[in-house]
Amino acid sequence: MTDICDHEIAHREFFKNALGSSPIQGLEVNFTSINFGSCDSVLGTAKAFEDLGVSAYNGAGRLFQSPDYLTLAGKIVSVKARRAALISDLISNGTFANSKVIDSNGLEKSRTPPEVLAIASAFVTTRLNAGNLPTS
Amino acid sequence: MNLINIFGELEKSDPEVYERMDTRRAALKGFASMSGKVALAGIPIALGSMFKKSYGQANNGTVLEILNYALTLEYLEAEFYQMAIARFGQIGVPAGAAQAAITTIGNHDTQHVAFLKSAITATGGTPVAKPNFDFSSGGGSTTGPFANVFLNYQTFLAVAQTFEDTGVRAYKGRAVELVKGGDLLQAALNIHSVEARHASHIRQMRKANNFADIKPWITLKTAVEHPNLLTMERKILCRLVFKLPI
Repeated sequence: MTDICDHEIAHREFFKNALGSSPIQGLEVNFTSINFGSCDSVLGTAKAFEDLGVSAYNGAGRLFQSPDYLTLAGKIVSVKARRAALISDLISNGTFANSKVIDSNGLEKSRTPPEVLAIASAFVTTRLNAGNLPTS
Repeated sequence: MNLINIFGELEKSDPEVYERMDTRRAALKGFASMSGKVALAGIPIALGSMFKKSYGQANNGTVLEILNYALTLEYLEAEFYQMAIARFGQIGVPAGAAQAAITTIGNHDTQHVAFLKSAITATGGTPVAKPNFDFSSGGGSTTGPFANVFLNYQTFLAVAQTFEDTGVRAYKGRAVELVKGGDLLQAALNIHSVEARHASHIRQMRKANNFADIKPWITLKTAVEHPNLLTMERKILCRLVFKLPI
């Protein structure tokens, strides 16, 4: 879990760096639905976040104009998928790539940014609206 | 989570991004209703025709070369796991979770082979034939450094980890050439993350089998402490995939 947290901090700092003077402010999160005294609740939420994260990167890959950024996003998403598999296995061993996340062609899900935001908004107080995203 | 940052970045580099997504959403909606009407086995072909639309003929050569490269890797992985599934006893893969996991991974790789073959055909190309593999990494002699790959569980897992980590890197490496490649890029990414999940699980299986310091992800520590893994990866890639001398 410490490794995973360190990965996320590294990714956040990487994006802040890449965005230069235009990163968005930190989000106000709402984790009230998570019971931090319950391993099941924390792992279940972690799995939801990781699976969502993978599908978000998979869906957003096609929007990159720069091969360099696409490669970096690829490096981040593969770490995310490895973590998603680990957390899923911690909940129930053998579920690292089950049919809930992989279709019958052996492909993982992709989600568009609006689809991701709609799901993520349950955990974020800051208003998430694709139409209000910064343009520069 | 850093979702907004990513979208900000996307929008910065492509101001039309949201407009394009709406178009894509409409396209996907059309595809969803179409896929409801065709048999499941027909879906890769339908995807292939989408690929063809998203790429002009000018790019087809590169696209087909990348698809065939991916197919070669999937042939390798699929055959490796199918051979293992037929030899669980002699390898010593424990019954239960371990055998189930190898079966899951093998099934995905077999599905990837079918998917890529269909996609190549539908994109107007010819799928490459499956090469003959020597999983001992003996260049065809079957007496290479991993001659006991189907006789020893630890060797089997070491080779499996190499294949999975290589698979992840291979998709990532070639995906760059598909930048702005629409549906085809997305399909490659959708396989890429599945390979990463496989790699994660195989690494956990190895961790449980006397490689206690292996993590589900690649670490510098692992590379330093097990330099033989890198050597193994190079040998396998050279001999099995690219057919180059070591």
